[in-house]
Amino acid sequence: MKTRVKELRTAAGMTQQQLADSVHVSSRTIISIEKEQYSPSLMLAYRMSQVFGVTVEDLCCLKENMELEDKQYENILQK
Amino acid sequence: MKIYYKSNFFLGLFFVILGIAMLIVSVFKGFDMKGGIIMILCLLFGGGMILRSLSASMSREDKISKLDERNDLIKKKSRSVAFMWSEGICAVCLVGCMAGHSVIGEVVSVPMTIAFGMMLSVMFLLELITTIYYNRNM
Repeated sequence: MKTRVKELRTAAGMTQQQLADSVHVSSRTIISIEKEQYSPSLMLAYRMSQVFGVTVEDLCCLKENMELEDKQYENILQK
Repeated sequence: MKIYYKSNFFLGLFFVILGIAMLIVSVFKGFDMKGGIIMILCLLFGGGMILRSLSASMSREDKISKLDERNDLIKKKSRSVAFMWSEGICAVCLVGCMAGHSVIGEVVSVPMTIAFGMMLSVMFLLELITTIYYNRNM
C-alpha cells in the first residue's frame, strides 16, 4: 500500500529509528512501510498520523489506494 | 547485575546448561564433529541471549521485536506456509508408501504408510479444529 510516510518523515527531519521508537515498532517495519512492502495496521497508521500531525487518510493515501483496489477488483471480475 | 528480560535470560541459561552438559558427556564418551558443532552453537546462542537480557538497550530491542506487528505477521504466515508444505509432503510420502507396497510389494512401507497416514490425519484434524475456533471467535 502506498503511503506518505517517507515524505513526511524526511520533511520532519526524523530517522527511521526515531520514527520507529515513537510509534513502538521496529525500524524494519518502518523500512517495509516506506518500500510499500507492508501495510500498517489501523493503530500503527493512527500513531504515525499523530506524530506527523496529519489525518490517517492523508498519511495512507486512502482515496488513491481505494481507487487502485477498485480497478484491480474490476479486472478480476472481468476475467 | 539486573536482568531486564527474564524469559530470554532463562532460555539462554537453558541453552548454556545444555551446551555444558554436552561438553561433559563428550569428555567422557569422546568428541564427535556433529555433537561438537551443536554444543558450540548452544553455548554461543545461550551466551548471546544471556548477555542481551542483561543489557537494558538490547532487552528493549528484543521486547519491541517481539511485540512488532510485522514480525508477528511474518511468524504467522511462515508457520502457516510451513504447515501447508508439511501436509503436502506428508501426502506425497503417503501415496509413495502405498504405491511402494502395492506395486513393488515392499513390506517396510506398511508401517511407514500407517505413520504418514496418522500424521496427515492429525494435521487435517488440527486444521479443522483451529478453523472452527477462529471462525467463531474472530
